[in-house]
Amino acid sequence: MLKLINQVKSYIDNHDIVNELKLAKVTTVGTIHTYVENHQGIISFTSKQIKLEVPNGSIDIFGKELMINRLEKDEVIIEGEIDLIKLNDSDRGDNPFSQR
Amino acid sequence: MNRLTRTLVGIRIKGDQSEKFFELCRRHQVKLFKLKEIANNDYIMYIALEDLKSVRKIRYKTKLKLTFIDKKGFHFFKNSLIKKSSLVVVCVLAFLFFLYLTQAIWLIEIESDQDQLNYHIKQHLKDHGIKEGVLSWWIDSPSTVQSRLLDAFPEILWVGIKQSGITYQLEVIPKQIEKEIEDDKPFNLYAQKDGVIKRAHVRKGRLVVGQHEYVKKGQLLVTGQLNPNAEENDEENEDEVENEKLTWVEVDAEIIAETWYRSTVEVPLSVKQDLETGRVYQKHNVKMYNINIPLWGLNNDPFDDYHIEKKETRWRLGPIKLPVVFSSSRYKETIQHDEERSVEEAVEIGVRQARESLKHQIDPSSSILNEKILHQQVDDGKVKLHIYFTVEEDIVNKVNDRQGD
Repeated sequence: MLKLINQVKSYIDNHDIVNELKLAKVTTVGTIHTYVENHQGIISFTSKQIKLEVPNGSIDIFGKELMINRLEKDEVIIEGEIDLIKLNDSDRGDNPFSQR
Repeated sequence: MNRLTRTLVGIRIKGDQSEKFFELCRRHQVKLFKLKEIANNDYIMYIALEDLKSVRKIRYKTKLKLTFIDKKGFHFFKNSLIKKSSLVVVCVLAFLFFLYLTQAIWLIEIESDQDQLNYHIKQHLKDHGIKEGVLSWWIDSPSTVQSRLLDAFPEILWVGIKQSGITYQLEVIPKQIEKEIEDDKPFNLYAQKDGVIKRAHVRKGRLVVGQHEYVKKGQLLVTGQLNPNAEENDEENEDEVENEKLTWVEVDAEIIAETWYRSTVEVPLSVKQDLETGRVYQKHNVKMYNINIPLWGLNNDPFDDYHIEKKETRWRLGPIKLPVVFSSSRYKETIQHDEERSVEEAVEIGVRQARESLKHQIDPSSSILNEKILHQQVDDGKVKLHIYFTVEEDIVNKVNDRQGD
């Protein structure tokens, strides 16, 4: 089973599946730093909530004193006290945890 | 882009279309930094300076109020420096003042035991531009100052000059006062060279030679033994020398005699000389390591024939030698001058030369009476002369020795 996971992992690494599928990739460092790739723009921005548009949905980031350290065409770096990152898939509905 | 060279402009946007602004920025590839919400629909952010134009364009598409709040980075640092030019001027002036303080001479120390001489030397240096507060680049080299001091003060035997940092040290050794030497007067005077006695001025002592007498070198001229018979006694009773001493007096005399010198000179009939035309071309360079930076005078060969006088000054910061050498060269134009002399002219020059060199040899109080050319020969483009001089001089040998040679 572990072998299979490793195979999938290496496949993803080799083929850069994120870029091929143009899916959002979210990297967080502790609760202070979030790095989102392949976003498609900011839907709303306050110091408590940032809503990003991503392919096939949106990402909500909740926290306090949020700030966008860097905003580029595909990348955004968010810093602040991050409490919750919520991924919304438009295909599956608003709640990523709900089953269709 | 490098974080240090990047110039950021802070802007503040106000209005309810801020998301549209962000989206437009994203589309126009404008990078936003440190985007922060400070109030509802009120944001501050930084953009790169080169994106400013596109941001202005975007602003017209939205109904946002855009204000500039802050400017960071080298570009604005430079601009602000230009605005605060007085600060820059003050900095430069401060550096120049610092350079002046370190490069100038602030202490002139003269080491000698005569205060009066010290004062005179100090005055002399002051007259020639060496005083407190003068930049050490512009004063003459120690050897020049040394020779000038020796010329100006005959009572100085030697002067050592050391220039270290802001101090200028002179070590003066005065000549011993001649009085002390004169205190020990000789008891006998002997002829220093062959000659014929012309005049004798004896202040103390007894003359033992007559006028027009031919004397040889080492011959006794004046004696301090006043009693002529005592000489014989002296030889016979050597034990009584102590008692005999009473009849000796110190001798003080001048014996002027005619002496002869012979000299040989060679004078070439044709000479090649480099004569200066008086035209001077100045060049100033700054040398750092091996790189020569010309400051003034770019012409490499200003004249066809020239000789160069070079003066180099190394910049110092206290004890540290800076790798900067300031050198100024004077190119003096010369022309070659060929001169052909006749034999008569050459003879005249030869006699003059011989006379000058003889004057240096003999005492300044003596005089050359006449000269005679013994032999004259033209050989290989040269005139060879044997000249015979008659000189009138004081021939006494002032050696403090009563026993003779």
